[in-house]
Amino acid sequence: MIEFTNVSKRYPNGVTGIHNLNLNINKGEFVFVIGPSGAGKSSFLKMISLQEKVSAGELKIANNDVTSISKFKSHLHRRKIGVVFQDFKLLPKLTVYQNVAFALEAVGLPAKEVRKKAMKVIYLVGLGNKVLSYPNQLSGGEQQRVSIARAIANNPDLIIADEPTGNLDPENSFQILSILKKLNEEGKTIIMATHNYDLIFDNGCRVIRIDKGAVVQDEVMGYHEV
Amino acid sequence: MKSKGRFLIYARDGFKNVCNHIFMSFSSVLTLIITLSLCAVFLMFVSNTNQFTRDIESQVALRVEFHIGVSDAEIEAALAEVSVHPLVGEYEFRNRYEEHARIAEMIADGDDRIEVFLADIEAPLHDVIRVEAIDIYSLDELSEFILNLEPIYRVSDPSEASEAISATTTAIRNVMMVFIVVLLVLAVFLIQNTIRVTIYSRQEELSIMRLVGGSIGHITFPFVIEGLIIGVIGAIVPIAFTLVGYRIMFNTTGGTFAINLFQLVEPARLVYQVGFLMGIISISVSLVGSLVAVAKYALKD
Ligand SMILES: Nc1ncnc2c1ncn2[C@@H]1O[C@H](COP(=O)(O)OP(=O)(O)OP(=O)(O)O)[C@@H](O)[C@H]1O
Ligand SMILES: [Mg+2]
Repeated sequence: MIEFTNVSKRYPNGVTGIHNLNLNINKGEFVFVIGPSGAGKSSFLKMISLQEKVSAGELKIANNDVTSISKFKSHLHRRKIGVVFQDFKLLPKLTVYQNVAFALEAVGLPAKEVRKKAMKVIYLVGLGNKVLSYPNQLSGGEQQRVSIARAIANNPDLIIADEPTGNLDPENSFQILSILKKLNEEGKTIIMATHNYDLIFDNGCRVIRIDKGAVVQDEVMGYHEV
Repeated sequence: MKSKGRFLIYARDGFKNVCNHIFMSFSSVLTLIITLSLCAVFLMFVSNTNQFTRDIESQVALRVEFHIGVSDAEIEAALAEVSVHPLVGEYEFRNRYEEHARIAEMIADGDDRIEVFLADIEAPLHDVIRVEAIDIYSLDELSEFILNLEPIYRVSDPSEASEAISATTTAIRNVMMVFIVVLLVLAVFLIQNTIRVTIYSRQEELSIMRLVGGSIGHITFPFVIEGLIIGVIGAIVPIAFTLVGYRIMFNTTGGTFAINLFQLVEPARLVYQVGFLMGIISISVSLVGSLVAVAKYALKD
């Protein structure tokens, strides 16, 4: 589903985020991305979510070359990708419902469909009783569930989560992870960067370790090996 | 159905933008109002001075005198050249007997113009042509052309008064033109700035919209609407000003201006034309402003 071929990411200030990366991720995989701070995990994820441009090499997503995709077309790919952030990125002046509906409006869905889809995903993440609450009236875990609802509202095949549990306590972290796991079981591809090694499944899942912009380890492993 | 719903969302967002930055929107609207009101004054001034100069022209044609004793054939040839010249409006040939009769009549009638006229007249009388140029600005060139024709003795200078008036109106016209262009550029700049500030203040929202798959066109359209709203509000006052103001001026002056010679143009048609033009200018200016702001955002992202 995702193919990196000799991909590098250099920032305008000369810092290298990712260096010469070769990697494939298949449809339906659940991939953890780990590594020390500044290793390049976010750089790696941002190239997939088209937030950052690839500096060199070739990146293909769902058989489409998105290496140097025009910003006037990138939205078509983004609609197939759900993104979840450590800091949730909810709009504080909008209710839970509006935050989700807003994402659906952004892709130009008609009002009736917006309502239907928004309510569906809000119930899916277990926030049916908080539809009219504002983000500051919610716990961190609940806020992150809203952002997951927003990410999956357009029914993407791929979900990118950059330290989604970074601001959460263990209990909420596990809850978020179980939602992601469930989505994975429904066939969605999940790529999640984390510092929280406790979360990594002990029943064998793919873990990619990045250090100094390069993949230093990429294998299916159990909890004890991490 | 679908596009209607979408448009409502755009309109709602555009309107919200205007309200959220009410002071900046207000300054843009104010600039538009000032600019367009000046434009209106300018346009009405121009159409009226065109009328003034038309009035003047019919009174200050060139008086062309032939040499004494030229043959009919030579006169015919000269008239033929004058008649095909592109700067010539109307012309009229009068032989020396007709000219004598006309002067006698002017004296008998006590015509004011005779004083000026007599001071310049020579005895014996010459055959003359009265030539009107197509407009007042062509008089000099036309005068020179005619003077170079073989049988022509002299060409009277166009009235100095008319020259002075046309020079003044031209100067005022040019100054106003420059002033308005500067104001229009300023209006575009201010609107562009207002909308850029709105875009900036909604940056986070926009980047999330982008992230969840909003196209550039979709997320920037409310800003174009915002510009349009500013443009429409900015046009209302100057249009009202034009419709009401000119009528009031026309009525209080009784349709004449400064000198009784000059008739003001009838209000009805002029006012609607100018008002319509104001609307077009206002909307174009605000559209250009918002499109510049949107383009800047789109190219940066
Ligand atoms: N926008 C940017 N401009 C310049 N340099 C950047 C930018 N984003 C990241 N970097 C640099 O790229 C390198 C990789 O950063 P990245 O954010 O990918 O690390 P990370 O693995 O996500 O770290 P963390 O675990 O702290 O989130 C770092 O050296 C960082 O300073
Ligand atoms: Mg990071």
